[in-house]
Amino acid sequence: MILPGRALDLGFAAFVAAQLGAAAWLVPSGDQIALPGGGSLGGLCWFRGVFHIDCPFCGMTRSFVALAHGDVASALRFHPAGPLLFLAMAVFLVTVAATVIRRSRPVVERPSFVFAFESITLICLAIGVFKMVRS
Amino acid sequence: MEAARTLKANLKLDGKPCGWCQVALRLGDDAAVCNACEKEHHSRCWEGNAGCSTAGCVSAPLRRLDAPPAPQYAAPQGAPYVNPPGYGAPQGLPYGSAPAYGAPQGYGGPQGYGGPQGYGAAPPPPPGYMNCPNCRIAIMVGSPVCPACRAITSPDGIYHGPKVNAPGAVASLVCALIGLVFCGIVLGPVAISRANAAKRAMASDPTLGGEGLATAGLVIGIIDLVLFVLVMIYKVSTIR
Repeated sequence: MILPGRALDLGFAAFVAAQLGAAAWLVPSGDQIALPGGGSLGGLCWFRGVFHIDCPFCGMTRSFVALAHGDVASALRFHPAGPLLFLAMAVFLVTVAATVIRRSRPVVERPSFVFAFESITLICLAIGVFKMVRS
Repeated sequence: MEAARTLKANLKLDGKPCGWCQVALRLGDDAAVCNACEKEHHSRCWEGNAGCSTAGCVSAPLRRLDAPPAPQYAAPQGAPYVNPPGYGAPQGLPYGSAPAYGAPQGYGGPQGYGGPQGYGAAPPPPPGYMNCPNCRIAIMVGSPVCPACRAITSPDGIYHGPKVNAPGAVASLVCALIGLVFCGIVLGPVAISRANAAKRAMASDPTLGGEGLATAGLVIGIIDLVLFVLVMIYKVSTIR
């Protein structure tokens, strides 16, 4: 079964949009994040809940929420790779919108874009592992 | 599994050129979309040509070995043989370029391979070589796949040679498995796109394998995303 490139583009874009939308909707609350009503969301990482150690991506959601509220310094403190991934996701969203409008080749079928996104993911993972080891 | 999806041309297919006749598909036309390479065709063109128009696609028709001879082509002496259009070979590929496959001395030499014989009947290959059934260039006897057009050369049309994993098949599974442990929202899509690219490569090149790895990467990548969403829903629903 080969999934159509356009369907993949739109599916991924929906996930990215949901992620960025949630980051804008949630509010920072000290070192935690909370719902706009005030309820604290607590830890979202099940890896940390089970093993009691940070995973390489721990702090990414807090970093996204801080970024969505314009607090770059806190975003970098929560996860140094947060702004990079946030920017990559935003660029992906814009690129998918442009390819849909222009009816051009789907993003997931463009080797250069896929390579760039995978490189950014690997960089984020490496930074996360470094952060995890250091802590 | 069917090689093509037959459907009435919808808005997505409207205006796209048929791979065989190049006439644009119109709304409501009977269309056939290749399952391997997603190329659009008229249903009648697909059936009339017995497959996909994309060169090298697994659903492309095999060339008839008993093709009727074309008009005599009187190439000047010494001119290199050039595959005629319509034989599926790369246009303008000189026959003399075949020595890259290790042809014997004298092959493609000053005498050339064309000229008096004409190109309707394929030129006799040198000893140890045979003509590709698809593009008709000379390939080594025993080659399971034509190196130029990737067509399968075995009489039964099934590739029997060794396979290597398609690029991305293993990576997709690794990403998907890591995504099960953490950050499935990022690694899941990477796994899915990698698996899809590997499956596309496998569909167009019979020497590539790793179908199981790619399928596992695809399925686990989807599970990554679903798990992430479920964990999020659970967390939000249990807020104190």
